[in-house]
Amino acid sequence: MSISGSERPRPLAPLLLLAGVALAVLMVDRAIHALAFRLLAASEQPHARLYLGDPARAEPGTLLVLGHSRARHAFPARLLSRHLCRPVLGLAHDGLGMESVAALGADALDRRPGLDAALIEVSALFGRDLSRTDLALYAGQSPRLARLVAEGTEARLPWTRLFRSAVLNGQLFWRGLYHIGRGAERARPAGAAPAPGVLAAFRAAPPRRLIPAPDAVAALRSLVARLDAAGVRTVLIVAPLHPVARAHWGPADWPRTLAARLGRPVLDLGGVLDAVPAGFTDPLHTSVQGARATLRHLPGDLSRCGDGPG
Amino acid sequence: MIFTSEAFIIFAAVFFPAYFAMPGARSQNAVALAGSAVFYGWWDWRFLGLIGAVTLVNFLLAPLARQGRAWLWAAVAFNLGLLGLFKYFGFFVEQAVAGLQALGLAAHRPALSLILPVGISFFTFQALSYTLDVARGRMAPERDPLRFATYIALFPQLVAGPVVRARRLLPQLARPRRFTWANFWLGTEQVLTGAVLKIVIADRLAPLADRVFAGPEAYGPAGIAFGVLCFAMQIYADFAGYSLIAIGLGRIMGLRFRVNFRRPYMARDLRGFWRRWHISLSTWLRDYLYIPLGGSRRGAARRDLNLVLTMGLGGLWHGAGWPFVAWGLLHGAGLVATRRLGMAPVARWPARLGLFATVCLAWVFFRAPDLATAGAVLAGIAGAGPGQGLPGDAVSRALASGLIATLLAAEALTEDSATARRLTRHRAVRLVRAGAFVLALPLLGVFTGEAFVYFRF
Repeated sequence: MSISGSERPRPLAPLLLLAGVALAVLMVDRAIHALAFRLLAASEQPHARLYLGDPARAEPGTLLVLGHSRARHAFPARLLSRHLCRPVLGLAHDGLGMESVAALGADALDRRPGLDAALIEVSALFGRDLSRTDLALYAGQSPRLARLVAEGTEARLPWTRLFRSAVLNGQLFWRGLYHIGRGAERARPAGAAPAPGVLAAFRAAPPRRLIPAPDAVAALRSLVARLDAAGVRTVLIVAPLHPVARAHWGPADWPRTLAARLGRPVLDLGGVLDAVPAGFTDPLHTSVQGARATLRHLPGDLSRCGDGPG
Repeated sequence: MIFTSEAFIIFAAVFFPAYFAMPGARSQNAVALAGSAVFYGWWDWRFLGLIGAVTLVNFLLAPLARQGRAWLWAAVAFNLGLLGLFKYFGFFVEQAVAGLQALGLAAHRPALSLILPVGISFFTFQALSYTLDVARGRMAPERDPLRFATYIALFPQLVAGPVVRARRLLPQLARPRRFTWANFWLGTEQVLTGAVLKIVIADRLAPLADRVFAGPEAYGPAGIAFGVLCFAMQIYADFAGYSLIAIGLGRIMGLRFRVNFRRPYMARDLRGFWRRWHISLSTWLRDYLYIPLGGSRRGAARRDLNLVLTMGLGGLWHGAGWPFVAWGLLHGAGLVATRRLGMAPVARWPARLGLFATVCLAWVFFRAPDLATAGAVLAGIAGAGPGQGLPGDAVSRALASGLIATLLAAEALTEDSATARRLTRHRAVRLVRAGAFVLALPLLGVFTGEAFVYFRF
């Protein structure tokens, strides 16, 4: 059977060719998957270090940072580490819901015995993940992630599950490659102020109220209990938000209510950058300049610097 | 239903066996028509009546249009009226209200707004080409209403083209079609290539282009230029991808559609570009608009006017908005300049790069939501904007750059090297490429159900 040409009455030949091609494709898929994980094991990206790195590299006194993109931008590991004079494990990732955050936090506890304190960003407690499929990358290393990913992959076409390399299709994998041979997680480039068009769109949109999802609250509660049991100090924190976005979502009193229910204070930094003109790159995310300004508002006792926060 | 959805995979698994199980052309056409109704009705079943009306009116009026011009005008008025009502009603009312308000008269926007039926621009143009061809005696009127309805509603090209001529498709629908492995392989290859263009390339580039056009003030010249480049490649990969999927599905069904894109960014001037870009539309505009307007038969000045008019209306066909008209007029002016000045004696690659830059700048008008944004984007590229940044993060920019470079390099190689063209036809190379595409989809694809760009036209 020719792929392009003449027909001969051999009905089995094309089916055999199809089966052969499918088999070869699946074998290459497995090889790509194996090679990718060898590469990731050499990466300094924090999730890669957590799931594929050497557990002996755990550093005592490590501060864990958890949350979604706003935590990643407001509390970049490198800046935080320099400011507080302590190792920082930044596991915040874009679009993560609290259930995924809790799974990452629990895995960090299991795999990094040196953890000492945790910053958990709680400004948007959504249950449904925006990027749960990213976590599929490490589902093979974590039963918790595997369970979450199995519940949250409806966006993928079913046949993509045939391919192991499908787990490489996400920001975490590309960031892992980016961090091979590079130091700890890099801070976001300085960027510019939010585009006027984006701010105008926020202003024009009808106001919305954020209501924490019950599943997300339950996940946060269980994470805090787990951290407490392990003797890890937990700080609930609200990352800075552009005034236009704060106006859009209205006064956020629920983090305090929630923290009271969990029996601990919340550090609300939502408005600390109102007077910093280049503090944001967009209405939701801080710039490096904004992150630097935010660090000054962290509790002083988180610092391990000899003469106060650096 | 879109080709890249789960629903379509299930649809195809039911449709193709049923289609090939039918004993003759008529029953195959009946299955194809029923399948097309499901395919289109999946989006909004109420608009099936609209396709039905277009089918019925053109089927009845085309034979009459041969006998009297009044019938021809009635058919043209019906098709264009429908297009005008659904696609341009809001636009023209907006302009009228703005005009009256500028004159100091009180005018309010009406509460009525119409949904744009998916694919209306394509199926009305197909119907119109049939009626015009019959009226001009270029083809005999179709006697079989089932065959004609299948021609209008055939699902592979129904919602986003290519615009298939009746003269080409109706004779194919008159013959029974048998399953062949040759058609299956070739069609599957085309579908796979189209899916990679859409899911891997277009959908990866889209967020970067979207960011730049949502707020060009935030980005520096390099960032904006990168966003425009991303859009140029996104729209190509998106539309060429859809066309290839449509052509491939047709091929599996035993139908042959003409190629719709032939490496357009490898052209050296605008005339060459339009011979390679959306060929089914550009030839439609040439045959049913430019030539009836007089083409180049009435002197150079009239030819230039016809070119600008044709391209301006072509721009308006793409969307009801001034930026689309500006895009069309720019291309019209470019074509006039190319005609007047002739092909400059420039080497291949400088000519290509010059054309690519020109086409990219014109895309700014096509993509921008309004003329003010288009102006801000162009000012930003020129360095007159306030921003400094680059769109997206380093990882997504690197991925986008890699995809763009790969696509352009593949096109350049196929365009310039006879050996490469021969190689791409070799069975082993095709198998390896198909395997690579199968792997690229789960590894690099974006599975968020992005609709094809040309659906909105």
